[in-house]
Amino acid sequence: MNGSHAPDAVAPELEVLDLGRLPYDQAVALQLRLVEERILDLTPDRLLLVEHPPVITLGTGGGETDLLVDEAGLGRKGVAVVRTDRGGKATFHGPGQLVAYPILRLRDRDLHAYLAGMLDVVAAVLASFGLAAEIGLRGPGVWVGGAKIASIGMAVRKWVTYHGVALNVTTDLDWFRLFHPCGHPEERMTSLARELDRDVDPAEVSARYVDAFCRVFGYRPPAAVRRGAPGRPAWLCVPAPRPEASDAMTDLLGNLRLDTVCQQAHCPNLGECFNRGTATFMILGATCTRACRYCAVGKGRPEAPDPGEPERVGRAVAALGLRHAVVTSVTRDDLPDGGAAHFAATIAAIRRHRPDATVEVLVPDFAGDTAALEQVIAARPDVCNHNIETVRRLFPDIRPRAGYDLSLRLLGRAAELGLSTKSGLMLGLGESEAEVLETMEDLRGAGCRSLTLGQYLAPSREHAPIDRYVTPSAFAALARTARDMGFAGVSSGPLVRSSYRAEAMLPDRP
Amino acid sequence: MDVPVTMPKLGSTMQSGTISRWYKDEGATVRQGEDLLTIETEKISNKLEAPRDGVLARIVAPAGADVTVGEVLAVIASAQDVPDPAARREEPATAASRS
Repeated sequence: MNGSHAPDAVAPELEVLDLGRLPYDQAVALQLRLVEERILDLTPDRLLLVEHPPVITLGTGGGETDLLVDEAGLGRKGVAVVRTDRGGKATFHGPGQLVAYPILRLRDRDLHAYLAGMLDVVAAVLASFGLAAEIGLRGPGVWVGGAKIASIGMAVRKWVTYHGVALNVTTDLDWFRLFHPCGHPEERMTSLARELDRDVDPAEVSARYVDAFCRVFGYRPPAAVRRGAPGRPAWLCVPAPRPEASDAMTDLLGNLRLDTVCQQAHCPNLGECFNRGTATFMILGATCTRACRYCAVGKGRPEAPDPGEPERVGRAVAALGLRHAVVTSVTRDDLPDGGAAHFAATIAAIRRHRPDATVEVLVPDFAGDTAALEQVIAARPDVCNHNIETVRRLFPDIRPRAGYDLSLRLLGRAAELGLSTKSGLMLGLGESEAEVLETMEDLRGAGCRSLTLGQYLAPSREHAPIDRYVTPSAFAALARTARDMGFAGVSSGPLVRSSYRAEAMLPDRP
Repeated sequence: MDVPVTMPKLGSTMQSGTISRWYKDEGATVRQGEDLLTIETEKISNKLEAPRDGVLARIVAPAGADVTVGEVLAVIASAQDVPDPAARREEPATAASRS
């Protein structure tokens, strides 16, 4: 944002993404994600190019009264109506239109200069086709010969821009008869194809637009245009594990024939935790008798519990010098006690080998067997963690053969017996925010002390798909809500997992 | 001396990874510890750092490529092996200019 000058060696980078055809509401959701990535400074400035299926959008300036056909009627014509948070009134997007959404950090914090720059870019594209642009004839926008060719609508969050400009290239202008464009009943619309009286290649217009954009705003011309939607959000990018640190951990675990949920569940934090010399032990084998749709752990018929395993976990905790040990297991519906005795023996072994360490168990639901839970609790772990994982509505689909209320009862019983309890939810499975809040209230009702919230990540295409990426700021807002609800320990963020940095959530020791 | 950068094994079950982005162009000077590229695996994206100072002499696996663990992604040469890294760095930008 340095005003108009030629690109040079120090010009900032611009990433150009050509999204192809994308429905308007999906493009807005994507912009909000990219805005957050830009606010967090995880990505360079970006320019999105997109074409929308037919849609009339209404800005913050209203525009409902400018619709000449009611919404149902528009729906029958294949035109969606969407209310949006950009400035301005009603406009149309559809085939044959170049829509550009810049996601830029406005370093000079000058929205007027940005608006002027956006209009200059369109004027430069028109000039390259030999057309003289008229800027701001009836409000912000670009006209040719008194007819409107480009509309503009902007929004900004923490000085990062979104929404943008729409230039009619080969757009069928009859669409604009369905409403009063930008609230002007007399407005005549035009397109590049009409003004030039010939067919225009949209790809050529896009290329000239990117060119002009870089010139006007002072970016280095991009080496390549990225096609299709961007991959996962930049906040889900972590440093690769240092091989020497994770090799040392892998060797130690291998020598002691121990499993970790870090490895079995393909945990994204494995590198960070292994580098820090910590891991979450998974006892009772690596084969689960349940088939939950979010989980990467192997399913099938497990082997008999290894009676030497508790002792080896104790030795590993001592060898790693852990101050806080987390122990979890697969669900063992095949064992009469669900593996409770094995849990108890493991807690005891850790106490023997490393008396100073605190112990957190992350238990399965023991199929609702209270006696099994009580057996684990009798071994006095410091924290009893049991994840509810998802909201009530999605629970049966995501966790078949488990029960939402059964899990709440288990947590409630552990709290009654005086243990510090903890639970967690994965977000992004298709739940609504209201449902998340309801589950948080349910957990508080069951006496749950600590809460973890993290982004669900599908282990493979065979697992439940990711419904949405929850932004870091949304996680932060949920954390505030959770504390207001009375959770004493809260960990909430895209990469937060049930036992991630668990020692930081411990209650003060007596 | 050339040092290859290979696809790391980022998890016990990882067979291959997809290059999502290079932070440096071919010919650019890199410093040890600088972000070099991002690799996508099933659950997460991992940022890989340059293993040493030098020049990113060759990108073998471009963005979008799916690469088996252990295969070469790029070659980093000592700065003195490349006569004029600054001149080479200009190339991609100039070539892509549409003006």
